[in-house]
Formats: sequence, C-alpha cells, structure tokens
Amino acid sequence: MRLVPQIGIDLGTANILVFRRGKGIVLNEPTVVAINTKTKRVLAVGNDAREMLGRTPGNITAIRPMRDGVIAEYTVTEKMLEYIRKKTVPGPGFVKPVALICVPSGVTNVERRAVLKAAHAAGFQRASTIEEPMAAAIGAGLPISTAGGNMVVDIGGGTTDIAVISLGGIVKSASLRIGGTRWMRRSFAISGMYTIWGLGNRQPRN
Amino acid sequence: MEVRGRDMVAGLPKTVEVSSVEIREALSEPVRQIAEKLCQVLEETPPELSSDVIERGIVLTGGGALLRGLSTLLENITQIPVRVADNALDCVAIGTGRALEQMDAIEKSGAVTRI
Repeated sequence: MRLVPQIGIDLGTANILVFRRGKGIVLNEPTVVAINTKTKRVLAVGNDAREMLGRTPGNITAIRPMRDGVIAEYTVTEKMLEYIRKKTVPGPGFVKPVALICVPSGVTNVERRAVLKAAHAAGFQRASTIEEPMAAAIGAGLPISTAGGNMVVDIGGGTTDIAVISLGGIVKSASLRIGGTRWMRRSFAISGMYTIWGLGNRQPRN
Repeated sequence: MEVRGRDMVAGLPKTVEVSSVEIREALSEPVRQIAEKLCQVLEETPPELSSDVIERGIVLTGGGALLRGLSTLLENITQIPVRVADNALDCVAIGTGRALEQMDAIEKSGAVTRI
C-alpha cells in the first residue's frame, strides 16, 4: 500500500476524468463550475453545475473554466481542482496527493505553468504534467516504448492532438484548437439556433 | 435528432430537427483541417517512423473519434489504416493512470514536466 495517494487528471475542456492509482477511474464529470459571485464560494462542480448552465440568477455564475484545452479562468480552475482533490481523496486534509495532469501538446510554458500552479494551490503535494497524445497512446495500449512509430490522433472537447511517438517520447506533434464543443456549435449554428441549452456558450456575467 | 435552443431570428425557444446530413456538412470543414494537419505531421516525420505508421496504422482516441464515419474518411484521405481505440473516451485518463505507475521511467524520458 502506498502512503501518498496518486491521481491522474484528464483536465479536458468538456469533461474531467480522474484516475486514482489502484482504483481506476473515480470521477467523470463535465468541466463546469457554479460559483456565487458575491462570496466567491463554489456551489457546485460537474453534473450539478451543468444543470445550472444558463439558468443562474445574478449572483451565481456557472462556467466552463477550460477553453481550447487550457485554463481560461484561473481561480475557478483552482477551486475546481480543490473540489476534485477532496472528492477523490477523502480524509484528513494533511494527506496531500500527487497529481499528474494532462495538457495538450501545443501548450505554451505559461499555460503549462498555470496548470501546475493551480494544482499546487488546490492542495496537491506535487503536480506534473504529461502531454495528452502521450497519455492517449498509453491508454490505447500502444507499444510506445519500443523503437517504432506510433501515431495517435486525440480529438477532445477543445483540442485535437496529433502525434507520432517512438521510444517513449513525442517525435512530431501538432495541436489544433478544434474539438467537440466547437463542432457542436457549428452544427447547430447552421440550423439557425445560436444558444443550445446545456452547452453554456453564454458569456459569464461579471 | 431533435435539438432545443433559441431561434436566431425570432429569439424564442424552438425545437428543430437536425439530420445527420446537416451535421456531416457542418463538420466537414473541421474534419478537413484535422486531415490536413495529420498529413503535415506525417510529412515532417522521419521516413523510418512514417513507414512504421503506415504499417501499424493510426489510432483515434477521444470523444471526437466516435464520430461516425470519421475513421473511414481519414483512411480514404491518408491511405493509411485508421482504427478507433477501445474505450476511446477514457483513453487519456487511463493513460495518465498507467503513466503514474511508470512515473520514474517516463520522467527520465522527459515527457513529464514538473515544478
């Protein structure tokens, strides 16, 4: 048994998945946070918060803190990660888990640092990032550590990552800021609708 | 598929029927962009590796991979076998989980950044 819980987080634009070592996937919820704008308290995260998208009064906002695979709302992401930590690793607060968080392959150092800082502030003892196509290749069971080319295309909610992996590393990669969320918006825009309930494409009120 | 939303012209709630043809039409542009980028990455890849890829095929993961007909379409464009990974939706999360188990080895290869 390990003393320090270790969790892997797929911090996606659309959904957030948490894998706890030794337990498997322990959380799979939409990346939505509802916050009381006056007290700055988090009211709900995930499924409950998604229900609130577009249905909030003036003092509550329900937003998607990630956009195009990176953090768009820093403080909200921090609070969301804290919620995730408490939910997936219950128990006394001094048990600080270690996190490995996915980022798209094209992110800048600033965007990567933002993820690490948010995780640190959310109470993780240590946080590292791993590039999404790498994680996707491992998850798909590809023989990535051998000397041979493996190609993965990961089409997520906000980004599409394309990578060629060999010997446990990325040889060539590209990241497109297109993904499921934008596809949906496109497909509905042509039907003459601009607000699709549940997508939460309204601008958050400040 | 039935979709509820707000009518752009009238501004009132409305339900419309969206056909798979319409959706395909709307998505043809982003799919084309993905295919283009994919070819570009392959062109830039060293020939030893790209020949491996041609042999082994391309693996699609993520929610977008579940789009019907996408793998066949990419297959037609690239002339390389394309398959969708099992449990495509969870691949990244499972991958990070497995990566945790082999953290030391992966860290040495430089794929992980930490502060």
